[in-house]
Amino acid sequence: MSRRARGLLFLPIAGAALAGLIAACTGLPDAGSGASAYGHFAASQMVDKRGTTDVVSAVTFDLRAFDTLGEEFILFAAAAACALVLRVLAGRDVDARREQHAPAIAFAGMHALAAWLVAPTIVLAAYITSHGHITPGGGFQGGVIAATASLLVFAAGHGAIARSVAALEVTEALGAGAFALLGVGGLVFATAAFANFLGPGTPGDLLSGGTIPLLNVAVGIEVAAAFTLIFVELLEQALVRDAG
Amino acid sequence: MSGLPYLVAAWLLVAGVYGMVTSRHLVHLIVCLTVAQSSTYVLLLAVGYRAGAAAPVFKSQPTSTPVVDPIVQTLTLTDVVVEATVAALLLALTVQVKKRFGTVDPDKLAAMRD
Repeated sequence: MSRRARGLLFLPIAGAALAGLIAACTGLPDAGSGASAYGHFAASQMVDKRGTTDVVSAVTFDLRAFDTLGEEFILFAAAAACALVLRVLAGRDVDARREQHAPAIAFAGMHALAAWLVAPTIVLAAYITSHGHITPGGGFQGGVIAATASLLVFAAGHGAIARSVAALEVTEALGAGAFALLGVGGLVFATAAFANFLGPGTPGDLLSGGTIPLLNVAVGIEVAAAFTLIFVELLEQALVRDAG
Repeated sequence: MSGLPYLVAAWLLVAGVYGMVTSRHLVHLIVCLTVAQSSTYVLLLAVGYRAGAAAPVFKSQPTSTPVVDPIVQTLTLTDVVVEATVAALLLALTVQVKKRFGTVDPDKLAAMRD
């Protein structure tokens, strides 16, 4: 099908879809009046019942913990699939080149700046992950920040991180496994899978929220390893191309 | 104000799909897909938004404070993670497409298959 024919076919369909969506929007409650009964329950009960002051985390890692397990495994599978798709016939001769590899675009002081930023980034990631049940944040956000530290290491001119692909895969699996084990813990120590089997503690304390901070840390490790793995696999492609 | 966020969501979805249909580069196509996906964030957050309400975090406010719906924010978090993984996987596939076929123009790829 030519581009022109496709465009002509698309326009009426898109117009009809847009009209349908707008018509559907008129049936929705006014924006600004939101809040469901479920949301109201979570907002009013979770602080007392679970000791978490961040209700979004409480819903993600307590009420919807089982769904979050599925989300975890989506990430796990996607990172594994990325590695599988990109793991090329390049052979291991790339190993030697990786270590000397420096990014093509570099400016004066970039290596030093990137190296200097690594430690603060990791501290920020640890803070965001460990305080996810108190203030906005959590394992997903903290994990992604931690993964950017690996990009900084790379920008600092150290390609050696790409050698630790196997370690990254193991770390990722450990994070996902820890999450699943905490779910089984609910089955063993309480009534159901992912039941919060630890006491709520005092809302606002670092050690509160029962299993929620533990699940946050497990997710943080898994997300950090998964995204680092994806970054490394994609960066490796640039190296293979350079090695040509 | 009443319906504007919904219209923005609808517009983002259609604009993203338009970009995908007319795309000449697979990376451009993936970016358009993320634009279309981001309409769901706007829709979810608009559904849960309450005028004048605070964020659902009670670290420094009493639990009786009216807050926006935390459930849709949780769903948005899930949505963001899934979008990121989908984009990463598609980019990885794009790298392999470029290697195997030497082009990332969807039209040329379709022509090669015939």
